[in-house]
Amino acid sequence: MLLNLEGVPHFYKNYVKLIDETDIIQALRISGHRMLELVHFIKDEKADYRYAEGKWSVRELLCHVIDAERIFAYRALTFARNDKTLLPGFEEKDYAPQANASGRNLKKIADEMAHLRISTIDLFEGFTPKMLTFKGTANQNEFSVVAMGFIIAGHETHHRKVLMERYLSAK
Amino acid sequence: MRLLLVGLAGMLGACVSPLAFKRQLTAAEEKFNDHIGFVLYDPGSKKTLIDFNSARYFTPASNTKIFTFYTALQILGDSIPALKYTITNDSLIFWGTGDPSFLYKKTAANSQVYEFLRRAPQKLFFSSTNFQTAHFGPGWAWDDYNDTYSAERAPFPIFGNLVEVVEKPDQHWTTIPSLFTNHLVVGDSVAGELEINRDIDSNQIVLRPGKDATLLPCIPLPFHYSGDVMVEMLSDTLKRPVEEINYRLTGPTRMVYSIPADSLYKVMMQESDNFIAEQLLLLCAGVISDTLKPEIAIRYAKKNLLFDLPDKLLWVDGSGLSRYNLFTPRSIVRLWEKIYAKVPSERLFKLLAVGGQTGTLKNWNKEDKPYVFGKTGFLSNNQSLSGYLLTKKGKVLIFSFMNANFIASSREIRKTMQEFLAGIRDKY
Repeated sequence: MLLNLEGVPHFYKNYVKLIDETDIIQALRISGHRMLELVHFIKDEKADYRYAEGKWSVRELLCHVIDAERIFAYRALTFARNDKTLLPGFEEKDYAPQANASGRNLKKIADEMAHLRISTIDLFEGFTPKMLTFKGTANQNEFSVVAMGFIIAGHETHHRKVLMERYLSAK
Repeated sequence: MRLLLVGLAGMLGACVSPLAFKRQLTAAEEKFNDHIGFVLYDPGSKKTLIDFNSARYFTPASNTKIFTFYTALQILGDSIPALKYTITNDSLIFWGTGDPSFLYKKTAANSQVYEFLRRAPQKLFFSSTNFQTAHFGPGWAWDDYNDTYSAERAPFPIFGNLVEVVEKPDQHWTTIPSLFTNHLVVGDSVAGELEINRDIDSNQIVLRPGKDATLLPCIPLPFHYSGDVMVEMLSDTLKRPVEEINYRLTGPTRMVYSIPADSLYKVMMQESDNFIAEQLLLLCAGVISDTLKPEIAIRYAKKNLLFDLPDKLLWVDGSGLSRYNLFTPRSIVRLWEKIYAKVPSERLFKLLAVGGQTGTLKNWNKEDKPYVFGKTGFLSNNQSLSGYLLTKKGKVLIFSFMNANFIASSREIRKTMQEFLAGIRDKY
């Protein structure tokens, strides 16, 4: 992993550690590929499965990953443009019930994930090496643009592992 | 000479110290007038136990597939992406991913792709705009084009890009797939075994039955791949029209998956299937870019996955058919160590050739307990073997054994390696 973890806020370090790739574009491509592969094999009847009471359903979890990617990508854009506005955090527990996850089928969610990832990759491909080093503040933490990219890939990978281990495992 | 051979055999049986093992290797070099590189490494203690020319470069032949294997393990998921598609109005446009498994006999049967294309309500269009590579790799021997082990690289392979020529009971010859029967010319019989040759730049096949030898029931040889040939064969198989279209792969697409990745890895690593190895690099390139070009995967792997190997890699293809590949034994050992750290051994060892039991090591001495799990490599005058060695004391050691520029028979080289590795097993 090329990214220096010292520049990543503590809460996000475990996400970034999940990424083996050293190149942000490849990290986004490979994590996206793996997630779409997994979603492809989730059967419709599993869409509302929760592994415990109070936990998100499969669909809610996937919608959360989508929401987070959009927010993280917006933060990366803001920092890359040298905008020093202090960006707010987002409360995932408040967002999830508002996402209409149960009204969206898995195939459409997978399509949205694929489209969004292409857009995110396009965004990061447009950043110069210097822009990737720019920093900004969100939710009272300082991030670099490139760290935001690795957090997108790492956050998705974290939830892919949760899906495999807690939602889709045969155990 | 007889004395030297007797002495060598004696040494192989009796010597046990690292120095003695090195003396055996020196003696083998003198015997065969060749070059040998060997490393024995203990991943537990992280110590090199024997080092003999470990930093010299050798032609790895099919040991190249270990690099392909690791790259695919890192990039691909559990399932093989089979095709990408998009739907516009009444048309389904699809692109290949390089998946070699479609109707390929050697891989696990899977009807996902076949059924997907057969049942699609739209008109089918195939585009190969994402395939940007030559059918053969750099440094491949041009006159291998006619041999089973040299099938052409392609975006959407079908039947392993091989055609089989078979003799029907009525003494007539036909092909599987049947598309090529019209291109088959049966010539006069020849003395000895039958001869079969395909034109280098077309699919015309000339067969000359042998007068003396028993005929083989099936003779697979590569066909010359093109978009035209592919859609014709696919139409024939699906029993519905498929057309070729020049349509760029841009924007979002959907994916169809075929077989578990391990099904491909197993055939590649155990049987040393060149075609699967080449196609795996295309598959990897298709994940990290939209272009099927092996150089993309190799460049990515060298920079991101293999930067910590001890020596620079001269790596140009997936299979090792090229003589431009050059690796050092110590780089190969380090790579096996990385694989060992990533893949649980109960999964890993099932994917490898096992001495005396499976794949290219099946004819190894039968032992009560197999002790070599690895990958062979052979090109004329070059022979490699590397992987894991299970010792009598229960240790798992990693080794790489490379031989170059010998003119002895490969059987003799293999026998020497086998005796040497048995000594290692007994000593450690």
